[in-house]
Amino acid sequence: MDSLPAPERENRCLWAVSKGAPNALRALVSLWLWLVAAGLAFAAPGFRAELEEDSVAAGEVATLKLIFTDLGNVQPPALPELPNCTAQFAGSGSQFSIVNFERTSSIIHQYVLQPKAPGVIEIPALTVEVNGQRYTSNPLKLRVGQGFDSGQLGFLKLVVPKTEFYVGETVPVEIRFYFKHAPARPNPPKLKLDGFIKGKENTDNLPPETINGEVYSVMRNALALTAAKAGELTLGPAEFETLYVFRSNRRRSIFDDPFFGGGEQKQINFASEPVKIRVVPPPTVNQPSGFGGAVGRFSLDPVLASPTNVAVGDPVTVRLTVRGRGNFSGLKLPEPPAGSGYQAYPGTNSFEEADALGLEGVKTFETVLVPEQSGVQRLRLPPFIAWNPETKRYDTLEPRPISVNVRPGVAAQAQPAGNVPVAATPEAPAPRNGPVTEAVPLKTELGPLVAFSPALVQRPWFLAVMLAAPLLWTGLRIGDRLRERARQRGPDLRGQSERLVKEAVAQLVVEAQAGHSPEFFAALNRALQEQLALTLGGSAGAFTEDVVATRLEPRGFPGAEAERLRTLFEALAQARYSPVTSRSALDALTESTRQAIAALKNLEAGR
Amino acid sequence: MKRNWLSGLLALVLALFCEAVTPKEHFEAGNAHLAKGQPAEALAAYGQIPPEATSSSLEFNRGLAHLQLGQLGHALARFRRAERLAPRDLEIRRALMQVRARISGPAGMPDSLGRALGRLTLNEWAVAAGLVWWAWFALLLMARLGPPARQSVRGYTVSFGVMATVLMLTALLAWRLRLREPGIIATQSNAAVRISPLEEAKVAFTANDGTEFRLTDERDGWFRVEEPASGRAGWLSVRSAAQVPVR
Repeated sequence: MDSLPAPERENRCLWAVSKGAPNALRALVSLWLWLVAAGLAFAAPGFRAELEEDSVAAGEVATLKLIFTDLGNVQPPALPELPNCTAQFAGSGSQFSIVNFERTSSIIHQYVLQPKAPGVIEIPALTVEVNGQRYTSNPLKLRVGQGFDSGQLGFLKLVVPKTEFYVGETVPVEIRFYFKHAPARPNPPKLKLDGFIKGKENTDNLPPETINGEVYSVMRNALALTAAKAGELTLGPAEFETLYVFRSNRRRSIFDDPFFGGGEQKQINFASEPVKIRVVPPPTVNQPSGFGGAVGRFSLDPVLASPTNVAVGDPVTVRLTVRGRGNFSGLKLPEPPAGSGYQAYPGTNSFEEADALGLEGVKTFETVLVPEQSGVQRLRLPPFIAWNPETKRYDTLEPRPISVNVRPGVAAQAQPAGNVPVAATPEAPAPRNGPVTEAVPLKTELGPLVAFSPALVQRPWFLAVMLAAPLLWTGLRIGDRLRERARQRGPDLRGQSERLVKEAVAQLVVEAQAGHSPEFFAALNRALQEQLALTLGGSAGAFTEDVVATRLEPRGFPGAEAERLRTLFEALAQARYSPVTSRSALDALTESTRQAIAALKNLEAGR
Repeated sequence: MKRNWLSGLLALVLALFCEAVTPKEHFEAGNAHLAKGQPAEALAAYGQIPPEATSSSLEFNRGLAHLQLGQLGHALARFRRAERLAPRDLEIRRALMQVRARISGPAGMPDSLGRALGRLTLNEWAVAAGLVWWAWFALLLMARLGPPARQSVRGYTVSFGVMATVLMLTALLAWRLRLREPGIIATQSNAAVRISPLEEAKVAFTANDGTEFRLTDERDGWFRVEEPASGRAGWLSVRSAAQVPVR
């Protein structure tokens, strides 16, 4: 054992303790833990203030921390007003630490301070009361150096077209940002509004302007403002928070270059001068009774009513279109006067904007009127009243009267047997002059019971019946066309057969002169067959000697000619075995054929 | 055997007779309840009539009962069914207009073309178009009898041809408009329209009682609906809706 090196010997000893005396070790560890736990003590509760940066430039921000130690969950206190400095709560956090057996639990509230001018800002000692005990923080000083002159970058201007508004008047206001260098991240500008209602807004860029020899780019944020109350009001200032990235003076690597996202980022705030506005109400002297607060320059299109020929109880849709510029929300749909003979239902309206701010446009009102009496019902709707700030007088827009021819309806002719009062439900809004609560007649006759079967146009059999007519007609037309074509083809075939007969007879003469017996009889057979087909119908080649007795003689074919035809058929039959070859015999047969064909033609003509 | 046959016939006649009388009795019982201001009892009585048989009067009175109960969606559905059966009934049209005005204002009412074509039922349009259509073809067939007949019916043939074409096109237009009409009506307040046909599906939007929707699809207890005005679409449970059949 003595020969072992020292560290190894030490390990052996530890091993011996742990293996040999486990109970003793366990007791030692327990004692140590108990001592640690017992030694932990809560630090004394307290409240202190810290500044992360004790000196900043004007316009930059510093972080103020209010730290509450072991005081539980303390709410962030309100800071006192600091001269030339804005303060804004930026969030809370908690911290837990053990240092030298001293355990502390802290709540930290952070505030962002932004001094506006160089100097010293004194943050006084703050006092809070927690669980009936008062705690006071330490006072702090924030030194503010000469800050960055934001005027080098640009300036903000509030442009108001006039300084006297009327209550309810909507005016376009512009916040213009003139800048020489574009910010990295511009936030939407803010405008302090007291007594004004903000409407739509729009941001765009204007052409660059030269001011005092310097060229500025211009970004415009236009918004519609409506004066809501009378009095001397202040509009603005407008404020514009931007983030600029500056090239670092102590550039160490290329990653400090703004091109690589490096450089120094600085929040620069711009503010405009506020504008004093005088808001006056439209005059009450000579104010028309129907004035509802509309201010602007408006015109009214002719009233459209449709349909104008209805029965009592039928709805008539009336449309009024107002055009112009101003506060359209003050325009309300005029209701028909009481006793006008019409019932009115709640109307709808739509607005079509003609500019980006919605100052100019077309508003369309639509309502449903139901005539209650028959006859030609003339209705003049009450006028729209608006205060015109340009002419400084009230404009009265008179809708042209509408005339509706109302026929008597069923309800006017027959009174129902039973009336059931209909209760108005609490959840549904009642129409303005609606007849919902009036007595609605009850049907007393059940009428024929039917089933809600699919419509006829959805049933295949109906569609088949409807299609049958054009199909039938098309079939008939196709039949006509085929018959016509056959009729047109008939004369062609006949002409062809006649031509064949003529050619065959001519060939008889030629073959007789040449003494060609087989060709002669072939031509003779062709001439007879084609002529018989022409006379009797049917196909050439199917006629035999029997046709004389069975079909020709019954039709009055002369006996001599019938005999001649038989002779010709016999000559044809004889030619198969012992044909005539002498020219005279062939000439006689030729003549006989001519006469037979002439007789057949006569028979055909006499038919 | 003969006695059995006679007794069977008698039972059949009695059954037919009872079937013919009972709906009227139920209808009158419902009317009596309605007149006494008991709409729930009236609906129960009307409900005794077999659902496959209905009439414009029955649907109208059911609509009135629902209206008394403040059930605007059900009332609107019944009035619309009544209108489908009797489109020229002024009282039905007026009640329909009133309940629609309470729900959605003039926006829910049909336009002038829809009102004009709605004066006839789809079947009336179809029958009118079919009769004139066949009359035209009959005239065309008559014209085939020969030149004198063709000469005598020529004027009628042209007139009926024009009428048949116009009526066919009008019937098709009426059918198309009817198919595009909102045929599903929400019958509950804040009826949930979900993004898929499942109870667990996320709610796309909620609909007021009486909101009318266009039906675009149907699946096991769910209607896929589209709101005509806004174009919003989703799935509405059949338990929260009533359907107006195309007729």
